[in-house]
Amino acid sequence: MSAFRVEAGGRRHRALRAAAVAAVVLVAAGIPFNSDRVVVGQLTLVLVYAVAALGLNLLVGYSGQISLGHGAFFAIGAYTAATLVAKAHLPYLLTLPAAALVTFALGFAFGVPALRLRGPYLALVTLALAIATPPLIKRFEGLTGGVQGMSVPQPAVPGWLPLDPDQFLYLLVLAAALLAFLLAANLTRGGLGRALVAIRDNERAATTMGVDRARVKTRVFAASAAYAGVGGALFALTLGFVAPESFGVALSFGFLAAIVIGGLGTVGGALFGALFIEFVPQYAERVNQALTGVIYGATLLAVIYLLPGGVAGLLRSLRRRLVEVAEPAPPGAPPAGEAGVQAGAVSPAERGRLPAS
Amino acid sequence: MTALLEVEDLRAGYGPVRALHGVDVTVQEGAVAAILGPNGAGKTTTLRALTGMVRTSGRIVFDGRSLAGLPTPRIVRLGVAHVPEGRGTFPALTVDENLRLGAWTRRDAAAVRSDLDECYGMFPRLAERRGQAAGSLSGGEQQMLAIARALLLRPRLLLLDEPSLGLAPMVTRALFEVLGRVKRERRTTMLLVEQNASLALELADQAYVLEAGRTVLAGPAEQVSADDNVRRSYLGY
Amino acid sequence: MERFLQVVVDGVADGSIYAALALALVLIFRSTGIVNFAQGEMAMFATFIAWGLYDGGRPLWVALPAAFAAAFLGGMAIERLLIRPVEGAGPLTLVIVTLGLFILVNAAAGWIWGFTNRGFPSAFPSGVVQLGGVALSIESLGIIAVLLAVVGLLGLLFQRTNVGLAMRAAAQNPDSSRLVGIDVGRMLMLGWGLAALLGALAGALVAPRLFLDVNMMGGVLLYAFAGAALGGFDSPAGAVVGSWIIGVTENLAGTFVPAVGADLKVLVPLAVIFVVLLVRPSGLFGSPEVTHG
Repeated sequence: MSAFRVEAGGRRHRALRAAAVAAVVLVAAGIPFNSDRVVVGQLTLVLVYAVAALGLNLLVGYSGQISLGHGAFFAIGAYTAATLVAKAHLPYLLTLPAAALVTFALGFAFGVPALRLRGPYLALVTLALAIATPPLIKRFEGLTGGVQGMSVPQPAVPGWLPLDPDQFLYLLVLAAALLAFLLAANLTRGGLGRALVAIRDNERAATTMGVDRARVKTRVFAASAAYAGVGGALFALTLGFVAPESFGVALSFGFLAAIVIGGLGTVGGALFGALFIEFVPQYAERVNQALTGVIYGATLLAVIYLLPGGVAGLLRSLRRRLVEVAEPAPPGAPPAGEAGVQAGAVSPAERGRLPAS
Repeated sequence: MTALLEVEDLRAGYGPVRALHGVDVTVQEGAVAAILGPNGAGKTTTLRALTGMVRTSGRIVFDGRSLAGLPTPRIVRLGVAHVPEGRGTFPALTVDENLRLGAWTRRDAAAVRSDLDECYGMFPRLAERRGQAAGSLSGGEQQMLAIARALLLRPRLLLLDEPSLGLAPMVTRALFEVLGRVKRERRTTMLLVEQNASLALELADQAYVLEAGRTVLAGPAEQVSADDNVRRSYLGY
Repeated sequence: MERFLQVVVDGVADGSIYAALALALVLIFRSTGIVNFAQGEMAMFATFIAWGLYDGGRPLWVALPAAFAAAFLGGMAIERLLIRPVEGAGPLTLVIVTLGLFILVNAAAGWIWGFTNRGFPSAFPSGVVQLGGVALSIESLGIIAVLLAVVGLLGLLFQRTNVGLAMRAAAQNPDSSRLVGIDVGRMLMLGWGLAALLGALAGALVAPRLFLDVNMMGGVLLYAFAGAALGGFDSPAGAVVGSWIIGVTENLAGTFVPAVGADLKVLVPLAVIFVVLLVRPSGLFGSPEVTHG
């Protein structure tokens, strides 16, 4: 069946995983030196979207809370960074933690009342948030520059680095994205991750097992908002410009589409989704103005019915042909890999269906 | 004479959990059969299997036709009325609406109307409450409502799942009197699952005892109720 | 005073349009527990079909019923083909399906009919009518009358017909419904068909007042959501009353409160959704279990 077998968490498993990640990172780091400036710019945006999508995946894929308003936190992060750099002349690196803090706090504040709402209602409220974002931005002209938007000076390349500005920007964003991914991987593999999966799949059972669902869910909301905020800050720095029209509903829909297509409840899914939402519209728009929407909608539906694990799920099943990762069997139990429910041990994407929340 | 209902080696389960491991039941037309046994023996699952609510294997033949694999509404249209555990009434709908739903599959509107009148005659308490929401009725009244609704189908076979569950002894007595009337006056074939074995055995002609998903005993009701050993081991009294 | 009455009547008319779509949302929610984010786009698509027929030379009284019939069939097809396979799959999947549908239908309409604005003929004669010395637009009165007629017909359907009874039963308790021989799947299809029909009606009523384009129903959907939320998502009466309140409030605010500009008018339904769902999720007439997590 598979070519070879590794035990989960064992040394070989971790080595293989580290090797895979290292390969990806090396390839990613090499890109600015091998591609033209336009592609580098596009890939920078891909990384920016990936960071934001990662946060949304934590919220939706892992803790099962549906948010259609991720773009709002993205916008807050972007405008926070823009204001701090353009008006307060803060060093651009500091805008990232600043944006993270602001959006974390706001996400937490939002997450508390959001606890009371069941799935579609939370979706509706967050949708309202997303729709309200551009008009609200325009309303507070004094702060945000209104319809005109705000310019953001591009991060200057330190003299001692022999890089072009876009290469530097790309590597900067790559570094931030790597940190974001590492953090997310840690969160989801550890106790928090298991708690999240337990909550998502069966809230009542999770509560009886001692998981404080309220605390976990609000913290995840806050964390996901922080990811969006950092993504937004990176967005502002990358584009050099923020304007209300960039932050409409389509953005929030885009993030949701990204994580569904990329693979809900996976860390890697955010990257595939980000690639999708950055490149598909560009090519589709050349053919027909409506094609982007058709592809988005059709792909979303196709993923739900045919490939619930998204791209990440597809890759995972391909990988399984090569390497099977077996959970170590508890003493006396039948060998792992047989049918049976192992709470928390089976990762969400293995489930083959979208998480039912 | 071929029986109205023949069940042979019925196996059924919920997902990976098997509940029935080979149940055999036969019911003659016009007769009442009781299915008895301890909790968890599979009595409710047997009835649910008959109306297509669980996946089954084995033989289920009703009036010469196999019911295996048919969807529930089809089975109902064939004339099988099932009063489920928990009554299955529609609490937000009125008593009258609940009853009318019982006759939903019937095409003979005039006969339905006269049946409704007859039903209100048989269950005067329901007539008093016909415009009330079914959820506001007492447990006993809801059970009467559920039975009346099932009768409005003019069923060939009436399945009753634990009708006495949660009811006070006096109410249960009244309930079984009604069932007795139905048996005598309409000669409706009934298959009755009951915890209250003594009342069930009074009403029934045949009795089956289930244990752990299998038929362990079958025989005429009088014989079963007269057998002290059986009563002590399986029926708890 | 005259101005006030005119604004109120216009508000009730706008509210009636929102109410038609809100009724569609509530109908689907009551029968399947799904919040159909694509309801507006489905309505827009049906309205385009009507436009296509009208533009092709058919009179309005042929084009509209044909479009409504198409909407009914389309709604049934969507339930059967897209919703039924994922029935038990949880709110997340369902939200994504309806969102995917939103995006797809919106884009499909753009593909077929393009993105330019169009006019759409009104089913009502233009002009005003004098009622008690106040000049009221015939169109506004017509819209209100249509909505009231629709509400009456729906009431008759659900309370006095066997089909309506079966639909209510199937929505409340699918298992018990099967036990009385009701084909629950078919009832759900009917519900979706009927909801699509109501949406198409909303589209046909609003198109003459705005421009017909692919994004026409986005705003209406928002208002309909606000109306349904305010009234209580499982209450049809609530959907109508809530939508009327929103329509009247929005028109009064727009006319008499200078601080609320055109851009900000959209914040009214948004604020309503926010406040209602966070403070009193069951709305004015809804039942409490419905929304809580």
